[in-house]
Amino acid sequence: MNVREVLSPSLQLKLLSLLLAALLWLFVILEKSDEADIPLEVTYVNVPAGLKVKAGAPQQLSIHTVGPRILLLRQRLKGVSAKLDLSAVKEGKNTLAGFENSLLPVSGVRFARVSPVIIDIQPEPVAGAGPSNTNRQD
Amino acid sequence: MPDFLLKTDSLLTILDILLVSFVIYRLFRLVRESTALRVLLALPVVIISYLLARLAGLATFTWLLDNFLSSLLLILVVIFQYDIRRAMLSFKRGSAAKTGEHDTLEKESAALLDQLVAAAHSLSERRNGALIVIEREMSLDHFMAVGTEIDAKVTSELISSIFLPYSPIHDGAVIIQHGKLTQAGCFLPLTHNPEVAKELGTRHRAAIGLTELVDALVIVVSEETGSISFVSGGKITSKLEPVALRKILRRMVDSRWAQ
Repeated sequence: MNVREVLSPSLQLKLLSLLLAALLWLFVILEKSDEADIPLEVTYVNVPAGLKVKAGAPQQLSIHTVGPRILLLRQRLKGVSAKLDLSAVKEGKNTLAGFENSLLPVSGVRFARVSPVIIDIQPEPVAGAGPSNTNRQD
Repeated sequence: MPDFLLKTDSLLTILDILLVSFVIYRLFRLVRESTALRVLLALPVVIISYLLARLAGLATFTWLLDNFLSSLLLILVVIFQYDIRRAMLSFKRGSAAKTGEHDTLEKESAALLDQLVAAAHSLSERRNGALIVIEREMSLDHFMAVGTEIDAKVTSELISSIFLPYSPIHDGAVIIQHGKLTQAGCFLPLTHNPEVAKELGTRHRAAIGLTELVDALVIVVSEETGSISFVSGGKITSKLEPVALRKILRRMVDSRWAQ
């Protein structure tokens, strides 16, 4: 005996109407525009030869995103990562900012700002290391 | 749990869903049960597919479903055009109930049914094809544009004579409204239902076609076999004896429609 035999046509109609209403609600809710903060994974690349990024440098930031909820969900599932080019940094304190413009969001999503807006990194000399252009630290 | 679910007011959401579900249920009650169930099964699949496609970033499939969903209302109107028309006709007609002496109504209704059963029996014995339509809540005015106005008391003899093969108005249907035979020679819409048995002729198909659109009852007498059929709501009951026909008519014809 299958479900259709157990349920009367009227009850089937009621249940299906409820299901359709719930799905319509989900559809409408997911298509509404919203804002969300998504974790932003940071990778440091092109660290100048003889320097290394200190262990305390931020590895994860947060990015404020705007768009339909379903696309924000897609962006969250896909994740956001940024490769910070450190080729121009020097030993000591360096301030990096405005790199959200270089990130590519999912179509329909807008990246508003990275939090914190600026990050400070202090590369330090590598003790006894030879020159290298491909030094990379995650 | 996704953030957006936490942002919604649960009580309002439940109310919102229940309200929409009630509207959907009432709308789909207007259409044929089998069609309504089919559409109600298909729509959730389309919506889920759309959401999954958007989540997965399938651009073309999303575009296709997006356009389909944008035109959904129009598509539903096309699919359910006959049902919508039937619903509109029933609204137009409104309540056809009339007050009056209950016993008198019952008697007059019983007399009308006797005449109809006698006519069907007589036509059946002589193998004269006939199509007798009894109007109920929904107006049949729309189907009376073609035909001959009669406006006479319903008698077995009158109906039998209308369907005599040499009668100029024996083709088409007679229509009974408020206990009177108002029109003869009316042409009815044929059914488009592919499930209707192939052996059924035009007369039976017209009876099914009409009752798919309105709540009228139809008595059909087959010219080939002389068998009596009763049609209501697009469903046909064939090979009826006069006694069985009378029983069905008594059950289906409210005394107020005989007035």
